[in-house]
Amino acid sequence: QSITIKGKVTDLKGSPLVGVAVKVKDSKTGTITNTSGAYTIMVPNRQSILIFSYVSFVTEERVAAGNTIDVTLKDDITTLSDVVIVGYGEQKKKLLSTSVSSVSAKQIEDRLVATPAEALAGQVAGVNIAQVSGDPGSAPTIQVRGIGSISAGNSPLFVVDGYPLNNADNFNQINPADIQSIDVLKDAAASAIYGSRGGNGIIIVTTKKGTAGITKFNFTSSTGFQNVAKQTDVLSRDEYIDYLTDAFKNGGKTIPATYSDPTNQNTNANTNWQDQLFRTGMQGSYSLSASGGTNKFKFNITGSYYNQEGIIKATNFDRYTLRANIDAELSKKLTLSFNIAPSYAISDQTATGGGLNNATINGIGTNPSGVGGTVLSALLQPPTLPVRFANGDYSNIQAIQSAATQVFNGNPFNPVAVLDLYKDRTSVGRILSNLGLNYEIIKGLKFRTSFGFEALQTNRKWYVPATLMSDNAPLANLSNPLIGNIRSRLTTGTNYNWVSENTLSYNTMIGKDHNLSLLAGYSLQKNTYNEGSQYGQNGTITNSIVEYPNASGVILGTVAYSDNALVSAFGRANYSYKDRYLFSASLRSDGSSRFGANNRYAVFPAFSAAWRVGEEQFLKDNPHISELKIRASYGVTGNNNIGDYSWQSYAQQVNYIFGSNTGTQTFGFSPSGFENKDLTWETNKQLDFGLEIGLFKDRVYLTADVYRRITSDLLFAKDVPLTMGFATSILSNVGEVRNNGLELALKTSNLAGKLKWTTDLNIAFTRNKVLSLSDDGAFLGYQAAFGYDNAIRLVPGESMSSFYGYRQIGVYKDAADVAASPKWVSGGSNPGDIKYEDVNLDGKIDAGDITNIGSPLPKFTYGITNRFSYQQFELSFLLQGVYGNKIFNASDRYVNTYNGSFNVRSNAVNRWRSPEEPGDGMTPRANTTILSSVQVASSRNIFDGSFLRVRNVTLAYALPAAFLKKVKVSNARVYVTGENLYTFTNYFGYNPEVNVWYGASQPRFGVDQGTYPVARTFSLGLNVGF
Amino acid sequence: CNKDFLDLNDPTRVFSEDLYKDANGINLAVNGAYASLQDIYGRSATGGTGLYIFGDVASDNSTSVSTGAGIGDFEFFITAPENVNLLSIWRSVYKCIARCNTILDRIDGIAMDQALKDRYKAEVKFIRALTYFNAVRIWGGVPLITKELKTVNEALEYGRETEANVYALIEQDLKDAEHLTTGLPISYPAATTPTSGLGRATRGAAKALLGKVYLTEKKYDLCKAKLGELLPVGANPYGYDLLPNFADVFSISNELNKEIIFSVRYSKTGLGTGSAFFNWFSPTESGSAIARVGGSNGFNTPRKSLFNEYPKVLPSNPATALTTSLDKRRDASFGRFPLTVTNENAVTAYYSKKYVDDQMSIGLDADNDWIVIRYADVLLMYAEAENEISGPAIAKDYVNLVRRRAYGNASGDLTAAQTLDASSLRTAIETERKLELNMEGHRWFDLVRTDRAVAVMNAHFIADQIKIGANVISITADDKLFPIPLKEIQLNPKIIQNP
Repeated sequence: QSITIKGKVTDLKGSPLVGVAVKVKDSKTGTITNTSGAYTIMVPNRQSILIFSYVSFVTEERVAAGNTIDVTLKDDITTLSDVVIVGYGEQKKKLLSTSVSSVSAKQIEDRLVATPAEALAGQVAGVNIAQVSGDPGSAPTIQVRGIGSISAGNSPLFVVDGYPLNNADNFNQINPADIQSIDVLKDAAASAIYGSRGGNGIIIVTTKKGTAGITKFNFTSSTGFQNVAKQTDVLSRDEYIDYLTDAFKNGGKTIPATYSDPTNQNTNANTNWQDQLFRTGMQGSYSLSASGGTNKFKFNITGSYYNQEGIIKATNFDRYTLRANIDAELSKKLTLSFNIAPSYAISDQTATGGGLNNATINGIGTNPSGVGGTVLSALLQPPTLPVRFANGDYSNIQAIQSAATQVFNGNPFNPVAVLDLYKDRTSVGRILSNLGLNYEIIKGLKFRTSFGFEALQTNRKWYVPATLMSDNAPLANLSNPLIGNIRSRLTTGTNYNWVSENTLSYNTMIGKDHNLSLLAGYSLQKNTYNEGSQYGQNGTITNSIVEYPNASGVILGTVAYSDNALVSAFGRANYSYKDRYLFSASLRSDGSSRFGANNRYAVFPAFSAAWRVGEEQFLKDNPHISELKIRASYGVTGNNNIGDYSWQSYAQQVNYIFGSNTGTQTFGFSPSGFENKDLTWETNKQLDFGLEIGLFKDRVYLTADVYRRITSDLLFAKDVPLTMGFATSILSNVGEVRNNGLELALKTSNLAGKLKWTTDLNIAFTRNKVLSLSDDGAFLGYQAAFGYDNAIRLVPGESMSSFYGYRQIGVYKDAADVAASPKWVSGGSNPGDIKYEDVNLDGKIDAGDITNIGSPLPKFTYGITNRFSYQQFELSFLLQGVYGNKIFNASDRYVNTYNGSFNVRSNAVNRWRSPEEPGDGMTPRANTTILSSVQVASSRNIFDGSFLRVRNVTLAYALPAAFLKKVKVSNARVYVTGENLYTFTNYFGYNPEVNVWYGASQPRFGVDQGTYPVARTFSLGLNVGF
Repeated sequence: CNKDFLDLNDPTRVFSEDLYKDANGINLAVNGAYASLQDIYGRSATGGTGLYIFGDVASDNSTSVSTGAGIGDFEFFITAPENVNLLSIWRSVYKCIARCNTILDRIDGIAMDQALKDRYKAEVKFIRALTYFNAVRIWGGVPLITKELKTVNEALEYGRETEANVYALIEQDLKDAEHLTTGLPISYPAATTPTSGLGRATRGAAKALLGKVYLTEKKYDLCKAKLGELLPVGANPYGYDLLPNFADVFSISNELNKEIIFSVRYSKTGLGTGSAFFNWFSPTESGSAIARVGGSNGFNTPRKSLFNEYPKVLPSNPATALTTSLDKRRDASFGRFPLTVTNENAVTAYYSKKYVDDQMSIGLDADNDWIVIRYADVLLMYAEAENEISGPAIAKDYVNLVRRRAYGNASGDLTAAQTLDASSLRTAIETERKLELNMEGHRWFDLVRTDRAVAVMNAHFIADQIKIGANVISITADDKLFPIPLKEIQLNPKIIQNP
């Protein structure tokens, strides 16, 4: 005799919850709530128990005692989702024996950011996310548990809905609002299931899936504006003229008279060049989704549009994305899941970072023709120079100098000319798609096969017109177009990646207490990339409209190709006894085309165990302790991120000229490097101990992990003696590095009444140390920036990528000081010159005095999120910080070089002027000759990089249910957010999260050379569901 | 299946190992060895570095803008071991040596025409000798590597060799290169083929270079004998002669003329084989007035004192007219900026006309070759050796041969005072080389070779008031060699820095 039970499910505010699963415990009976939150279900008897579950709400159970059961579901305040996605499967969070952090949709929605990673910053213990460039649409760098690699990359592997991405790009393009959850596998035992790609941790993204029920629509709109958070202090016009006068005097020259003529606009303008560079940019994100379906067919489809005007003029980003997730039950035993996510993005770039006349333009290997880096040249342009001359031409310092017959050194090109005239547009079409079939062979035994496909089509064109001043044509200008200066290039790249994965999994209970699950699998993955470039130099006409290579005088082209393949077999076993003792072991074997013929395959084992002490009899009924778990894990993972064909040596074309008179070109070749058949994986061995304590029904939940990660066979493009000839560096396995760390994550629900307050706090300490170098060398070093050779070093016993240089102790005060002190060997020292420490006490300053001057690695990183809610209002703020890292400012080669050619930083006001006016004792005199002592890497380049950033503040208001009902809307929220509102730091530059060339084979952590500043954003959002 | 699936390589490129498998590969590799000379003498890709930073910038010939790139450091003798140009030249030198050594190690195992094989070996030895000769003159005894290095550990075995041993290898290589039967040919057919072409090293080039090596080692008898094989003027078996018109020697429409014994070839193609000297050497003030595209870097600007070293004739009104010189080399060598200047005092900069390409349409991509050795140099070297052996009697005639072209007749012949004795002729030859070979990368090495660098340079610093701060700079004997790049010393502790 079954009984019919009815009821309504609402949230704490009384709003009906649509699509709540209502299930009869230990049966197959179930239903879901309708649009008004109501349900009807048949139960067998009055002892039956109903289970109400809904995403991000606490599951409730009720005994079927009455005929009407209304339920109010509480928000899942601790945001500990029940289930986390691990590689090739999922696991109950409480039953994990490894270190995994999860982030739910709630923690990243409402954020007006281009990439999901930006929203993650500061939210996961041990995951350091740095926004190193503010280029619209650009992705931050992500490091899980310190840096264990110098050249094989420190980026984790991204797995999106089961697809291990070849390229992080397809993660970065996900609309943050599409994400259901992000799980970060941190310890090696968790990530070892991905073997040779697990070394830097795994980030698993699950996108939103449909739930059965009436179709729900959701519209989100967020619009805002961005600006630069601060400017860098440089000399004002009058300070600059004073400085110039001083420099000329010290250089034994006379300053041109034009500087003392206030009517001369060319030398007495008062321009703030940074104002010319930056603007307020608009930003917007809009998406519309529909989800629903039946028990046999569920879907979730989202379309979205994102656009961002950069804070530097001429930079823009537009992205259109579509995502469809479909789940279908084809038969009782066979289910299908299919997702497809096409996107299209257009970005306009300009020359921003890098040197003053040799910008590093994102994605272009070689600078078109010495186009100036605008960020740096905006600092370098003398404030005395107008933006444009009277005839409308862009101002050019060289034109003035020539007229004054005074040679200044170097030529920072007018940044406004670059912003106006240089054109650079990239459009990328992407598709990520995965089809999976699951077949249940017998109860508990499932076979899954999936095939995924990833494609990127990149199209980039850039153009340098005849009128843009550059290294190639310094005096080109609107009135002086130089056709030889024209450069245009069109590059088309196609990237295909496919993956085939086949797994067999078995899950069974043995008796009442023993749970065993087994997994075995085999996978193949292959990636190919094809690129074709056409470029034209020199125009036939001076018309600036010539943008395609076809119209050029000289047309050239190249092709590039690369591919890689991975073959893997893997398995995992999980065993638990009474959910109290948990054991897990996994093994993966990977073969990769990237490694030397002698070292192609490797095996990656992992073990972990946990004891849920809280489940033992003596604690189970403790009213305070809701969870107490200790766990230990050990695993081996690899890092294969070294690019394709790295172990091989290819010939490069080196051409020469033979023949009478001007001769003709003859082709020649030379080896470009050395073969290394032994090249192998970087191996990470990581030991992790974890402790989880939940108090007061998990209202206070602490997760603590200590780990030791040892990376051996460290891959590094090792500089070799140049007497080797063919290569300046060889990719080799060079040594061993250790990262020791402590991570603490504390989630508390401080207030749970009408006013709710939760706090998420995380802090991670990492200590990095180079243990040994395999060739017994004293150190391995490489360049920090042009000319700063071996300024970054790996030295046994010190942290990886330490900065090396001379240590400044002051300036020589006067002749007596020079006479009494060790002197600079290459050219001697004079009063007012930089005084370095004589580290080796040999009475002179030379290369023997180069010493460790800092490390770019932070001592600890932290993040704090506080959320308040009161009735319809919600307020959250996220603080994120880094402490103890040093920045190497390579731009200081120019802005702190006292040679009288460029504007300099404001500290020059405190320079040495005479023995009587020694300034601050650290800033050398102005001079028109650049001494070799100011060209070397030194502690003058080193700055404290610690910061605390107000990363996000959001205030939201949910419209009341009563009102919504009238307008037939199920939910609606409005919110205001601010991103990067303020950064507390001593660093003078735009952004302490600097990391130029982080993707290079010799990454320069903490090196600032004029990167695109990160924006501050204010936005207003609306979210409507109906 | 797995093996094939994982066995991937780049189909758009050729394996290095496949290069040295047959005659064609060796041919390409030899071309590659020649190409490495472009890096040493200066190429756009080396960013301003070339041998001229020693030969001219460090000498009293020229001045350089001080940029962060540090070429100006050579002018002021403040070149720190960190200097990027120093490193760049060192790298280019050993890249060239490695290309040569690899060919020499592998060529014997390849089945190919024996005569061609002998010639390739001789060509490569010539290139190796020239490169070690440059290196030993810059740094003194350098690591002497004569075989293909395959591992880093092998490279770390090499400390610095003695200067004498480096010279011994240079001499041996050049003797092999000039060998009568297995050495270089006297000339190549005018028609260029894949394996042959004008501009390759010739037997005459090997002899001329060997003569220069002997002279540098002060082996005057050997020098005289070796250079004597390239005489008499106009009737030597190699066909070398002075061109009647000095300016024609450097014309880009007249390259590889009969005065050129060996030059590093450049040609504008947009393919990276053009020469950058025109842009590099044009004074910065000139903007795009002289070099119309590619910029004017001012890396190597002739000094006014060099221009004034030529005897000049004052115009009737010095305010409205320029000076002239009976020595035609002055105006053939130097241009004035501004181009329209009419008064010598209004000249703001001079530029070298030896590296001008009016046809250049892409920056840093001009046609000008770098002349390594030419016949006038040989005549002056022969005179120098002869003077050291027997005094001025015969030696002066060879100097006068060069001067007669400069003046068009015997009016410029050396005076009695200049040819009074070996010492006075020695001074005259020093000056003559400066005037004849200006801006061709010889001056500094000439001064070091004749042990005159310290005296001449210190006098020049005072005369031209070359100062750092308030003080006129000066050099000592230690400055005759440049520092070994710091990075190399850090990487290979066996290499010891120069004092």
